Amino acid sequence: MRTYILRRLAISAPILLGLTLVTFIFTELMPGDFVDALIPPLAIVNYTPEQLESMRENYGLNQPAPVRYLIWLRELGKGNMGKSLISGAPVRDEILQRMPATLQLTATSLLFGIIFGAVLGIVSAVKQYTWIDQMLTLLGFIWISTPGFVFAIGAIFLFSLKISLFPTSGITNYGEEASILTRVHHMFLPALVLGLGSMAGFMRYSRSSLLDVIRQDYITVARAKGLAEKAVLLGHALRNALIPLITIVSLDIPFLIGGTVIIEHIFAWPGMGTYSLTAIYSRDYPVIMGVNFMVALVVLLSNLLADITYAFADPRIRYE
Amino acid sequence: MSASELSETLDAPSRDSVQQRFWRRLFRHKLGMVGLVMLSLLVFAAIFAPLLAGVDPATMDLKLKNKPPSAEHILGTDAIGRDVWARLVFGARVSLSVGLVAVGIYTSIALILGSISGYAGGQVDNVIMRFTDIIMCFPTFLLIITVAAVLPPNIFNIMVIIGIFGWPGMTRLIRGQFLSLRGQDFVIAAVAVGVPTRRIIFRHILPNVVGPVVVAATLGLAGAILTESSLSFLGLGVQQPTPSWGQTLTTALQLPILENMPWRWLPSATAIAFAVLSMNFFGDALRDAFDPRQHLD
Repeated sequence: MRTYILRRLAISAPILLGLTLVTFIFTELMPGDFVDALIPPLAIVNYTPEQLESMRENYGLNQPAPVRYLIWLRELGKGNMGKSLISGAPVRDEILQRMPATLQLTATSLLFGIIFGAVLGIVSAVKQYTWIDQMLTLLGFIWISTPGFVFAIGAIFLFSLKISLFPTSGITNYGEEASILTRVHHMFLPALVLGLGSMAGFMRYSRSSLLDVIRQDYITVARAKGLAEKAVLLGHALRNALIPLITIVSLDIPFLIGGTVIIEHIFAWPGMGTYSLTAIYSRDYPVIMGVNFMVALVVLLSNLLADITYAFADPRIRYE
Repeated sequence: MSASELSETLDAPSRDSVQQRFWRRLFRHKLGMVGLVMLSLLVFAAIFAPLLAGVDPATMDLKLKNKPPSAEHILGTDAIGRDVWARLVFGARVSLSVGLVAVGIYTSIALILGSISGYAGGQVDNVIMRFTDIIMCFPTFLLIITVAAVLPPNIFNIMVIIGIFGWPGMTRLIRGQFLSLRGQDFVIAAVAVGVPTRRIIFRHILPNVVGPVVVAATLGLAGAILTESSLSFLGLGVQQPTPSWGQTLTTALQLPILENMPWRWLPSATAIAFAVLSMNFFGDALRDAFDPRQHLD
């Protein structure tokens, strides 16, 4: 097990370096820089080229790209992700401040997606080809095909405007101390909408995985020795059927984060999604770099975690 | 018994060709056929948009602002008196063309990278695959909005942006196919008798990769349309006056419009789900038809 973990870590290290390089290159490829974004298009005639040049120098934008990359990398190692060009605050602090809200939202919707996805998938598999299975299949297609923002709009329309069940935006009521209850109340709709997309995938996957396992010889053996169907299912089939879900969940995380951007925007959720969108609109490069890198890091770590969890759950993996 | 007689006897229960079986499986797939019909409707709407719309989607009539559906404007009008139905129908053009071009771009990239990686193997494969791993760590959507915010938002740029970030998944798929086909007897035999590499790739391997790629591209089309609508929804995609479904939905963020003028957002919301659903249905049917063993259920 230890060698397996070490090997996974060794594979991840160059990828981590690659992440920093790619983040930097992407930012470099963008036309225009912060100085361009800072000055309104009509006001640019009021500046002399020298003034613009000295502004660029002030922000350190005149160094050659490789130098800026190395400086950025060195500072990143120290935990310094630069300062936001808009607010002047350290990017790391701003990210850390917004991270909990996003983690709360994504973790809840992921959990919701996994639990309901797995349960519905199992129901679908056990009742294969019945009307329940067919209905769930159809629903799964609809859930996967409807973008989060369409769900969000529909959910706000139904559950906030037509029936005032849930608030339309924010993390808590304005000017109010955030109690657990108001937080859950505010989180319900965004988490539901975010979770539905993942749920459909998990449902389909656990269905076909369980159907796959049920055909294995050891299940036939379990049935042959006279075990009750329930015991066969819960004690033998389910465990093995749900292991591959670990990988599917980790593969879903980039999409979940992508979805968070829009959902946070719609529900005015003060997390990383809203933060990155604001940064993108104002070309706040250090923030864009910081958020993209942090998110990629989270994805890398969750892949690593998934691989290790998988090896724990399925010993065959370790001896490959 | 001659060889041909023997093979006929063996094939006796199903004498039809692989192609025939493929079409039969495809047409027997109920949801797939529903998807095909839905897809045909969309393509029809996109091609004959000017005829179906009746009026120009960009023509404003400030006397007819925010009017509910009527005989003249069957889906009502928007904030500056444009016909919602016309914008919906023309939106199909935008969605389908963005989807097709974007998927075309990344399928080409994936075909090149995937076949090189899978056929060459070794260090080349290693480099390409590690690069793919790196890119896959970034949520595609985040990269797309990053670039979309900076490039001038026009329909051409949107196609290209979605196209250049879509390749990693498809590349892995094609590489995997190449890798497994590369080790199969018929390819080894072809190499052994001295068939040139070019011919092995184009004549012996690629035709076998077509199936999975077509499936992935169909499902990718659904994904690309989703991405385009999300981008346009965030104001980073197709810009006014060109109509786009996602862009129309932006107005639904204003609660009074959301609550009191459903005709302004409901058609576009439905259209997006309809389009994506049709491709997912059809893509699923294609997958089953190409490889019935893949789906055990």
